[in-house]
Amino acid sequence: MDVDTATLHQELVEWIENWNEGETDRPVTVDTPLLTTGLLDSMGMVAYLSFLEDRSGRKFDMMSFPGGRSATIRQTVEHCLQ
Amino acid sequence: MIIDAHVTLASVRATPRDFLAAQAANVADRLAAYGVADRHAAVLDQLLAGYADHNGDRLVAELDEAGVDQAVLVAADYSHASPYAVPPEELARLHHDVCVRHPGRFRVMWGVDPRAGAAGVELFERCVTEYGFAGMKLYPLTGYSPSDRRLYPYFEVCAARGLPVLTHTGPGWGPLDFTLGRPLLVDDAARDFPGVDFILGHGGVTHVEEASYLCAHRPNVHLDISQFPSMLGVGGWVAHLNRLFRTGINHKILFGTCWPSFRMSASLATVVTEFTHGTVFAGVKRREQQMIMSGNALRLFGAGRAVVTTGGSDGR
Repeated sequence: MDVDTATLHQELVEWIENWNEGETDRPVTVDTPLLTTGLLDSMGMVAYLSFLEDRSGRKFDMMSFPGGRSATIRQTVEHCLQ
Repeated sequence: MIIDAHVTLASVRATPRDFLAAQAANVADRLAAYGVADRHAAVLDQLLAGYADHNGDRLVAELDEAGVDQAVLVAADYSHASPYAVPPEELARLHHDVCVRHPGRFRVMWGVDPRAGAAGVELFERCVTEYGFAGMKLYPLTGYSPSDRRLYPYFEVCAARGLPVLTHTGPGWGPLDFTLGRPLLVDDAARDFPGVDFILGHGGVTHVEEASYLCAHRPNVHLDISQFPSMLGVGGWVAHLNRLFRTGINHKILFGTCWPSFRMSASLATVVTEFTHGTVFAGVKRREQQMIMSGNALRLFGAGRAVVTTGGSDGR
């Protein structure tokens, strides 16, 4: 599956915004840490990565992901597509 | 010095696949409640991908990054509870191989099950004498009490050799019996074997009040705080642990994480930083902080003992 990174970034920003249902004032960008800011909890991260896998058609390899708690949309996309 | 008194090997050879499938089902059920449906297979794939660290290389890299000097590697015996569990002899070799590959890093708490009979006691003694394993691990949720009389021969070995016993408390893997996770179930064994030190795994996180009063009133009962990042509680785990650390039982508390069980939501380095530079120890004396982070573990495992190097009691 060909993936347009910019489009995927935008879809993921919107997914994060929808997940929070407007209950956060924090602006979401591709470089916003997702866990430390409280935009996602562990369960939200599982849901987010599932969506990323669906949209990219790639598996997200948690074993080799270095992002940890400061993970951002940009980092997760880069890792998933590499 | 930091000793993580409770880590596990993230390998499907150490944790049966059906346990992970049950965890994935629980996650998928919660996701479905939030409108993300049919995720069981995807979540299970993610979990399985994280349980491929068969030689402990990733675990050691994470301990290094977090500044954890030594760790207690907990090997539970699930062979009576899951058709996917590897036989105990194979589980022992797996953990021994990890110790040999990473010398000076781990002590192993060896999992036993009272249903194993005399062969189980013999294997336990062999694990101690040949592999240098440092204590015994119980996982009662698989179907027994930690005070089961069939465990007494094992406790006699522990008493004779000065080995501690780590027993799981609280909930655990989905297919198992959570009613066997009450800390008080260890009380008979703790009274009958006053020379054996018992550690209530996760006792600082679940059934905290019960675990705490056992620690306060039984000289040979201790608790660890492993699994704290995923605790249920208003105010979060930092506030909860800070309260626990001001209840007067710091000589009984062992720092532990249960890493890598919450790898999906945090790095080990991030949570350890809360102990080295955060507020979790606010108001706690420095000496007591040191006891929690390593001193109590060294006392229980024997301050004079090194961690396993090449195996064998002579190497300890």
